[in-house]
Amino acid sequence: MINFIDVTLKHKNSRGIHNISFDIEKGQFVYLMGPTGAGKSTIINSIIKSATPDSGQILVNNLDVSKLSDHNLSQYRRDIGMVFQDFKLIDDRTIAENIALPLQIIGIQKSIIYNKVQDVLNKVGLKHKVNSKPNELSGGEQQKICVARALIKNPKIIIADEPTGNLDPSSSDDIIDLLEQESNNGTTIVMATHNYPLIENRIKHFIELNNGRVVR
Amino acid sequence: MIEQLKFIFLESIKSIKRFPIYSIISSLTIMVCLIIITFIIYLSDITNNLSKNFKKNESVLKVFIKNDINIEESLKICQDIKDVYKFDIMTFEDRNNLFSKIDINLKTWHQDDLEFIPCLCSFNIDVESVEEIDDLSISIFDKYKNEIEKIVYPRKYLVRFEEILSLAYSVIFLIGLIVFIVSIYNISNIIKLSIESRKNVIDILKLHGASKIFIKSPYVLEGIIHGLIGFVLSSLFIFISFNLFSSFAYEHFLAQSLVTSISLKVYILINLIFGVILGFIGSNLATSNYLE
Repeated sequence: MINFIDVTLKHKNSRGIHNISFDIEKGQFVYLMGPTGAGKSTIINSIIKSATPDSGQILVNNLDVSKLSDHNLSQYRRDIGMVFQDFKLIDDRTIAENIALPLQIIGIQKSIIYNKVQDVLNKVGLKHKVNSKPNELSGGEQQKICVARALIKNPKIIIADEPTGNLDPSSSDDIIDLLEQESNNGTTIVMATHNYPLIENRIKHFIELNNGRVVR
Repeated sequence: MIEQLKFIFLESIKSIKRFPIYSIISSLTIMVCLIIITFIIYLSDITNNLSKNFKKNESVLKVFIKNDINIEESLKICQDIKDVYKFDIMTFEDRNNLFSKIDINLKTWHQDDLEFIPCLCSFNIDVESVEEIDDLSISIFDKYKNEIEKIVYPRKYLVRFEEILSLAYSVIFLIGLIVFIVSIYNISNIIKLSIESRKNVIDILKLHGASKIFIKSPYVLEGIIHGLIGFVLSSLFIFISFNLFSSFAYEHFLAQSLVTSISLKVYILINLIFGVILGFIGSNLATSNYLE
């Protein structure tokens, strides 16, 4: 599903990733672990092509990510759900509008969007917040909305970059529960985290990074 | 598709609401630009009309018939030239007529000998340039070289007039161009501010697979809306000015020569086109430079 082949991406401050190779199978829930600056976010950014590798190849569904044209990149990103540490919700839009955004982008009908928004809000348990604005929600709730927004387009892959980084332990557990539930339905999940205690009892597959290299 | 259009439209409206002062400044700049463009078109029209009238009055070809040809014959030749070259207005002056205009001292010297005075026919000609008068003059002279003494017209005067006219057009065009560029630059900067304030939204859209056009469209639309607001304001101003000036010109004879030959509808249409173009170019410039 996701294949990294000798991928190197150096940042200006000499951080980045160096000759990294790994394979992630379809439906796996893989944790990217490591301290700050280990290269977790660089891997995440490389998968969504927010950063382009200096060398090596990244294949997602046998598609060479670094060779995607602008048009194909937007099509490619439509199949990936993303969850961010800073939520990336639009403040002047309601929760429903925020969740509906990925479907609005691809021009889905209003009635279909409405039903799907209701479904995912049910899934994350925040149906009563449908007309609230993001700043009226707690951090944990905002992250659940972020997960709901990732789920609404039924993605094949979900990329989560430190989704629990700003949350208390209870909310963090809720978020990982949601992602695991999605993984059980066949979605491939890649989640970056530096919070090992949070995931140690849940871990099935992991890639441990340090100084831009795979340690385990 | 409808959802996409709705999103684009709402985003651009939100953007305008977010920076109302800047949006007003942008629309007012476009309004001023459109008024100046209208004034420039008006000025060009007036200048063109005045120039046509001036040339019509001043472009007079004076054909002197040889003095050995008698008055009847001279008139015949003049009439022939008028018919051949299809001139509208011709004035014929025989030697007696011309003699009456001669200085009093000369009169006393030559009152018994008028034969040296040629007959003169003056043709008012309607031409665009001095070169055309040159060609016409040569053509007439070649055709009637046995009958014509010489052909005279105010060449230098007309050339000077054309130079001044050309300078006036250049200045008008330059002012228009400067105002146009300043307006585009202004709109572009305001759209840049808008983009800057929505950087996080743009990031989110990009990450969720929005196409470049989809991301750009709200900002381009915002520029066009500024252009349309500017158009409405300028049209209002032009409409009021047009009516006030028309009633003034109706009462004052001299001002009538300053009434434009272009209709108000055409001015409004030009404003609409330029308003949209200004908004589009300004916002497109900002999105092309900034969103890439």
